[in-house]
Amino acid sequence: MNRVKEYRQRAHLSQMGLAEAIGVARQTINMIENDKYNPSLALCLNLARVLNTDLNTLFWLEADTKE
Amino acid sequence: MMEKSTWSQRLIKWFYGLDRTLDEYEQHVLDRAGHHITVGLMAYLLLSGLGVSFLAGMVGVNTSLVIWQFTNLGVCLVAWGYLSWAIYKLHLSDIEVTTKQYQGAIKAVLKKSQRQTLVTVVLFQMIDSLSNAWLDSASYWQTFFSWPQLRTLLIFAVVMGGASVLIGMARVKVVY
Repeated sequence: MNRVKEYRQRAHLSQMGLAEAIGVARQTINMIENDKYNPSLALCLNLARVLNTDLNTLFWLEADTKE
Repeated sequence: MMEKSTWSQRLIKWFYGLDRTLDEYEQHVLDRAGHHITVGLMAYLLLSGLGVSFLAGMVGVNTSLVIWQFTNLGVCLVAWGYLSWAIYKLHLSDIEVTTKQYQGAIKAVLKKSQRQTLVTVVLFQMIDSLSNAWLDSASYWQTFFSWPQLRTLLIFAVVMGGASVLIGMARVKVVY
């Protein structure tokens, strides 16, 4: 689960813009935003850095939501 | 993040003309598809070897070998189809451009298609002429420039070139 889309929109970035900023394809951002791909730690850290936030705010486990 | 690509990823990229660097997600997708195909083909190899032995006892060696050839072709087509479907579904082969870049991208795709068609067609003609010259006991160049050979070459060039251009153009996607 993640808030990548929310934070990307807050940063006024398109999927393409965010993808270019961290050096991945736009489809990868799309897959992450739709919870269809679990990115590596390095990619998560890069996303957090570019979106000016931290890992815990951006990503969490689905089990944590249910609690 | 960009990772070092494996030989299977390089092979798939070459075969499908994916010339950009793949990120971790795209590499993961290609790896998974490559593993599925490898396991599937190995299982087929073991089972079909066994099956063709049984078949040879029932319908004769020659018939069983002919059937085997066709099933081999079928399995290759299924493997190719699966990989193509994975690449298409995940948009790995998309060439994303802005509206301004569209015309340039189409021109580049057309140029690449022409180049690929030319190289493939000439290579095909050389190999085909060689085998036909050997079968007919004729000279290589005589066979190379013979009308039936050139006719096949023209048909092949039109079909392959046309398909290459259409596929290339379909790959170019405008992103707003």
